[in-house]
Amino acid sequence: MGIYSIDMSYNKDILAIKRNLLKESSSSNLVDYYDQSKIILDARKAFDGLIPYSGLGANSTNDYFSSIDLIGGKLKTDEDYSDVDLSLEIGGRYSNDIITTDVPFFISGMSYGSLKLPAKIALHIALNKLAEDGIKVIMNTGEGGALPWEIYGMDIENSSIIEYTNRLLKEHNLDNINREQLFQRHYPLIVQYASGRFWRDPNYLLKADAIEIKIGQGAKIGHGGLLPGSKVTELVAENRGIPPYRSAHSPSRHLDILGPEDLVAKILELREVTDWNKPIIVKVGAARAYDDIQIILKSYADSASIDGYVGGTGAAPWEIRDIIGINTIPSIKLGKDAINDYYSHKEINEFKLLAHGGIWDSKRIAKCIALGANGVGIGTGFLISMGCTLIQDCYTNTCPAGLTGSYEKLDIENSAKRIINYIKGTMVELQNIVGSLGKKRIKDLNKDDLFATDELSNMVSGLSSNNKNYFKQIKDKIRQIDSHGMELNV
Amino acid sequence: MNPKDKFVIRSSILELAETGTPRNISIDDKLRNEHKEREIEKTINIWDSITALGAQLSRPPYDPYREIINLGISIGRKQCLNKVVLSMPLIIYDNGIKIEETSLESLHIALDRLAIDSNTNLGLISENEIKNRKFSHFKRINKKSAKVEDYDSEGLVLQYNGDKSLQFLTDIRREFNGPILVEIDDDFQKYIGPLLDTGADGVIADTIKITNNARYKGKHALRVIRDVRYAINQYYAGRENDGIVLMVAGDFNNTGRIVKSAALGADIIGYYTSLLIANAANHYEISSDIHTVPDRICRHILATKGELKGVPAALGYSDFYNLSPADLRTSSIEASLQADIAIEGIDKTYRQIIEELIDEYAREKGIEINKEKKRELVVQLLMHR
Repeated sequence: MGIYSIDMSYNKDILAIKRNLLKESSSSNLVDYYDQSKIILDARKAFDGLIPYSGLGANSTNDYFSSIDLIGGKLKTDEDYSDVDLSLEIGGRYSNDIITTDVPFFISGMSYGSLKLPAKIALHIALNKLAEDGIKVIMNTGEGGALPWEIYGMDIENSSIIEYTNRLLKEHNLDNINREQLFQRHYPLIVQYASGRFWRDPNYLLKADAIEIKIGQGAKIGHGGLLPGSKVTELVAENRGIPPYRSAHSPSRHLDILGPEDLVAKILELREVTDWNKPIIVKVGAARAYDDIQIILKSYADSASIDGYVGGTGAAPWEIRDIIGINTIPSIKLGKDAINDYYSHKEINEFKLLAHGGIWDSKRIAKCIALGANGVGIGTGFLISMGCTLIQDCYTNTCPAGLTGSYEKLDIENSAKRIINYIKGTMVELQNIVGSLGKKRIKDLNKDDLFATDELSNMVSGLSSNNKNYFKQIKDKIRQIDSHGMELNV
Repeated sequence: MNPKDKFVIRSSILELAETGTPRNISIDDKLRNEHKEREIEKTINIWDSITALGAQLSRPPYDPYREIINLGISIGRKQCLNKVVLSMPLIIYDNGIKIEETSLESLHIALDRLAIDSNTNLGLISENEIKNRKFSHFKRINKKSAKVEDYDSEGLVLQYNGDKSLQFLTDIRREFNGPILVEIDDDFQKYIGPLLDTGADGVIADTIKITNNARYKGKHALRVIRDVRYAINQYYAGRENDGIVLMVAGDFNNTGRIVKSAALGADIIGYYTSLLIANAANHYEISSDIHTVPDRICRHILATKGELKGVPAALGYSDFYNLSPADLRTSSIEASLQADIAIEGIDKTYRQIIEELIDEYAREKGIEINKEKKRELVVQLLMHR
């Protein structure tokens, strides 16, 4: 298995292989049986002998979002619903601190290395400006460690961090950036504690507002993190504490978390380090969602985060991304079932379920929350706001928008403006949806506000109390057959 | 996601990002309208609607970069003296397509190179005589040869062709000590028992051929794999499986399909994508030579080997052959019905859901429905879907 990176730019050779493969398959009787979209993967394997990677999320055949809808709920109304409460609270189940935000969505983990520095700075500036306007939105660092200005203020005295900051900004021709503005953080920060343990400073954990233990993510469940060598520049390597220009394959599992007991021990360790102050979230990729959430519930975590297999990534082996995991909607259903079962005999439920994967706009956020999620993470939506063209080459250094690589210049100011618009627009749409459904708080959305338009979506989302209940329809058919003299009783 | 859907999603988000004001229509409504306009029916590729359950907290994953993941398989039952060990669950299978001489030569060189340089022994099924090879050759034979020396391969493949095939198999078994694989047709349920009694070391199910025949017309390859595996398991009911292998061939041309087939019960996959690559490279005027083409095949196979190690590891197994149907989920009722795969979100097959609803109905009505009636009712309900 090739673990070292190579130049990812393909030459004429691979194009010729691809062209000829198409010619071969269309000229033979294989054409009926050969999925031509996979041909490029064969050509890539034959070209470099490496496992083909891809960026962003899996190509799911059915994500159920289009076949589940709200009963009412308008994006645009003439009414003023600005008093609708969209807030989200994380923590308080075991932690002393609680993070409170003004919107039920946040920026999913996208680390420096996976994203280029200008994109990270644009997100940082946008969230600071929103906080100044009174809208607090959470940022998740991703597993690659925090940037200096995310955890330190201007009063920083550590000379090596100052020197690293100078080099970072210089490499991206951002010398002129206002340091005073940069070294401020007014938004809540969640830092990831992943299997690679990438950080240059233990303050990473102490200065954050919450810690997320990343067990896995939707795009590469059970595979561990992956940053192709071509993207591990010297500065990225320094931030992660790894050798430069070599692919970073973080272990597929935490070496000290092999099961439920280990998770409890790890959380208690982090609780002690942070004086029981910081909320702790455990993130899993969506697979055996019921069992995994049950385990998290029984640990000392404040919250669980579940990432459907359509959830994005900077790089994942193509086949692993596309064949492992379940969709976001059924994973929320299973997660919520686990929570309901756990709390069936308890009065207070302070546990929060966060969902990720293919959630791009207000309607999808509302659907997830009505199904049982408390908050949702968005990644690709923010990238598109900044100019992502969805070509899914995030694992190369050839991103045409300059977000995940390449020397294309990203307009930081304009990108920050677009992020602010995206958040504010989504926020108003959510308030309109909730308000036009006759509710005052987004927390009040529930399954009764949803209906499924087909049998399968009905089943996987558990919308059994709805009028269009297919389970009921099947039972009606049984009744019909029974009444037509099949003499079922023996 | 097709490019048109990507465009819809992107334009909808950009509208928000540019204006910061509410839109008239959501992404999902736009997608629905778009699909209606283009009259796209929700047809789902059954293969793509199946996914596997990755390991997280309830089962830890293995690490393919740091731990050993077994892909090796031995072919040959108890009675077979010279078993063949493959390094990965692939046999190059020509699927009845005539391959040109140069491509065949490139393939032989590639398989030799894989065996020598990369310690990767793959099998090849072909009726040709292949001299001085380092890989395992399974020779197709149609009739008994007068000379034992003609069986100069590591394994033999013969096609089941009525009762005389059993006699043929009995005769060869006496003279040949390597594994013998038998290609079966859509009637396999009738003769799989006697076939295994006679000493076949494995069966080959060509899903394309079988699904083109009457009994399996309109059925999916997954159904064939499930049914053949079920028939083999029935044969071994109450006994220990002594090493019979099920090889499936057909449209298994990527790692995803290999893994899904293996989870449903296939042990070895007939693979021929590399032949396409060899052919493709032969058409490439500048760098097409006898060294370049095998190189491409080797690289392709090694990358596939890496993927085949990665998937079971991510599912929490250190052995590829531990994959089982319980590791699969589907987002399609059709796939659930064809291969008894549980539907995601409810973790039950469609058939199980129907059965439970019948039980519930019986409970509510206070009646008792016997097994036979229940089966009949399930069939009726499935027919009237």
